[in-house]
Amino acid sequence: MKRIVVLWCFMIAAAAILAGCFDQTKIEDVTLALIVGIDVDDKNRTVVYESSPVFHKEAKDKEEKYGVHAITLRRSRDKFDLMAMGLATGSKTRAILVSKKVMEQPDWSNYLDLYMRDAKNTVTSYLIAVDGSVSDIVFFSPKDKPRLPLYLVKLIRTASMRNLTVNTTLRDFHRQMLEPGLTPYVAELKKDGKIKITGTALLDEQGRYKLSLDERENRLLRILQNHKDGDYSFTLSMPEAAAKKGKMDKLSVTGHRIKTKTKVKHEDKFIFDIDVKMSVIISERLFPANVRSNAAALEKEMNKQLEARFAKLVGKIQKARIDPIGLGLYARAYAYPEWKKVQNRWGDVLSEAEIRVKVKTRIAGMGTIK
Amino acid sequence: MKPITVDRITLLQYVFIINGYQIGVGVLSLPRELAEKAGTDGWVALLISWAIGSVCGIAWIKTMETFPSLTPFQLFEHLFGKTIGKLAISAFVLYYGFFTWLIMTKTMLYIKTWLLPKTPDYLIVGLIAFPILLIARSGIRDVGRFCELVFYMTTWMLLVVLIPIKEGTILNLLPVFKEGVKPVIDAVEVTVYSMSGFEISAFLYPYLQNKKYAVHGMLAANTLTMLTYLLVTLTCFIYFSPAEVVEYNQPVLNLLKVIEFRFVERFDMIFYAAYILVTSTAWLPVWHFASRGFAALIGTRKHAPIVVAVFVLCVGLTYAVHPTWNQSEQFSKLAAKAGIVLAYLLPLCLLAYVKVFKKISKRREAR
Repeated sequence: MKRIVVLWCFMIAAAAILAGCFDQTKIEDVTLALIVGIDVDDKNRTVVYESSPVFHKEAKDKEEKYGVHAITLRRSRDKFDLMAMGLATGSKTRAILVSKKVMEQPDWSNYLDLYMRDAKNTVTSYLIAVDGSVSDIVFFSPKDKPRLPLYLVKLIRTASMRNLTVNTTLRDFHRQMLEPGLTPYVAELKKDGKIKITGTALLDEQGRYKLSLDERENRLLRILQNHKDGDYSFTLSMPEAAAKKGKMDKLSVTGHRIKTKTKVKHEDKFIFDIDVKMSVIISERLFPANVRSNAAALEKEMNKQLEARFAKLVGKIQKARIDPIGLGLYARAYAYPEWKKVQNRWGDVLSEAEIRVKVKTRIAGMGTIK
Repeated sequence: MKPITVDRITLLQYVFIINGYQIGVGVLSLPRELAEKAGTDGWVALLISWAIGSVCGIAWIKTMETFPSLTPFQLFEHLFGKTIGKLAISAFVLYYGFFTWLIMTKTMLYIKTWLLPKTPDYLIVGLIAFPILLIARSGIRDVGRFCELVFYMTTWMLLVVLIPIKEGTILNLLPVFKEGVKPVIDAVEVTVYSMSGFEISAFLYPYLQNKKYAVHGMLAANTLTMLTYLLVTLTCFIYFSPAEVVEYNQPVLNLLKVIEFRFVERFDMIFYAAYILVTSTAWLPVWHFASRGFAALIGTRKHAPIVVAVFVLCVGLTYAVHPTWNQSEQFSKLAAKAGIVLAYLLPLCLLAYVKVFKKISKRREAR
């Protein structure tokens, strides 16, 4: 009997202490900042935006949006709390929008420290560069789309499935910033009437904006990075195979089993040999050709076309003195002594390096019609 | 002296107690500590300290084998006489007692950082230690059963740690021995501390059912621990870039933060809570043996009241000190130094002493 009494006392005490301990937060008291935006105004003051859902029957607009002047993100939380119904929290942030203007300042990425340091915050939110003003996007509520956070996240996720842009999350970005052999790359948006992905923004080691790639170049970048997920589809001009130039010399192919092998050696300068092998399936052809007998010629022309595109992309990257491909990783792994000497100025060294991209395509299928 | 007959553990329980004691909170920060010393070559140091640990562990068991019916506490008194024997026991009691509190504190600190920042520290210590108290105060067999159960319940966690590896690159590990062998040797200092814990096999030995396999069991536990460390460390090195892994205080927990399933978003939260089970098997055996040691010191056979006293002391100490991260790291360094003496150096000396002692006492008997 005594034992049972002791047990009951213990259970009641435990239930009393254990109930959420001291850290309980009621879900109705929380304002989830699903989108956070960072921008600067004309006077170069930092402006932080947030967009969060409102869970209330009586509210007509189911989304609350604010923009405040704040020195840091944590300081902005105070200001949101002064206006929003609940306690603002970053634990469910799905996307962080940063304007290009902010990205042009050095060390802007230190703003994101809050997300990496505070264990309550998530690190899997997308980081997105905005060409133009962040407020245009945050305060935009299109009638034909669901609420903005859902829309933006889905937009980036599906576009990155087709490799039209990159799906860099905060954590990826953190790695890209710290890694000396790699410079950051983030998705880029623009509002031009409608919200539109413009491709990928490439940043330098300090996180400063350097240049933008469009969606076609982004695909090539992803191949060079040996990123295997998602679709790769190319539309190429084939004047030789079509025996004519113009609108009707196009061939669209979908790449499968893409293998990228990068070799590095160092003779006075770094030399990178990148071999791209892919099997392609023809998905669209606007000119007559006999794929059965002329496959080799088609493959040869495709290789030439793709190599030219790769060379153009590599030239652009080298000119900007950045390394979004991550060639520094290969240099470190296979030429460590030389790499160690130059790792702090890798972008400059890479701009003088020789990067050769060889493409080898193989037509695996021509589709269902001849 | 009377051999122990009732309270016995099976070989598997023996393995899981040693393994459970070795893997505590330290593994969460291990990849960072290794990377700080030796970059991504740090994992090689794990293999070295595994070998050292196994040799010292064998020395412990060989020592115990010479007097199979004695517990280490009885052995100390038998070998060195009352006074020095008691001193040796006190050293272990202090080491294990301090260790118990230290691991509790570290567990509390990580729970406080990642889960419950506002909850008072002594309350967390009390809450996580109380269920373990119930096991520590009963016999060694219950300790063994608990450790075995926890092992089965928590092996899935290793597989979860593996999930992010596909996003990493093996290039991070290359080249091996970047800066030569010296940094790796420096890193052994870290791993030696992580591997310590095999010395508890000496305390378990008298209770082991099948003493023939004591060495095998110890080696199995050591290898299991080493493989766990290796897997976690390599995953972190492959996933994080070398410059990044030193940035995180506990890289393993940051690793978990990126795991997201469609049905549960912040999976890490579940992991932190479940990890308390893993850490509990780290302080349970030491708590138990610290209490048994103290009981031997004051000459009783009942250790249960002392277990309760240790509990009160731990909660009280946490209330009085309010340990911080930096403090707990300093305490760890202190415990590491004591551990190197007690776990690594002592068995080698002890084994030599026992061999000589046996010869002398045989000669005396012959006379």
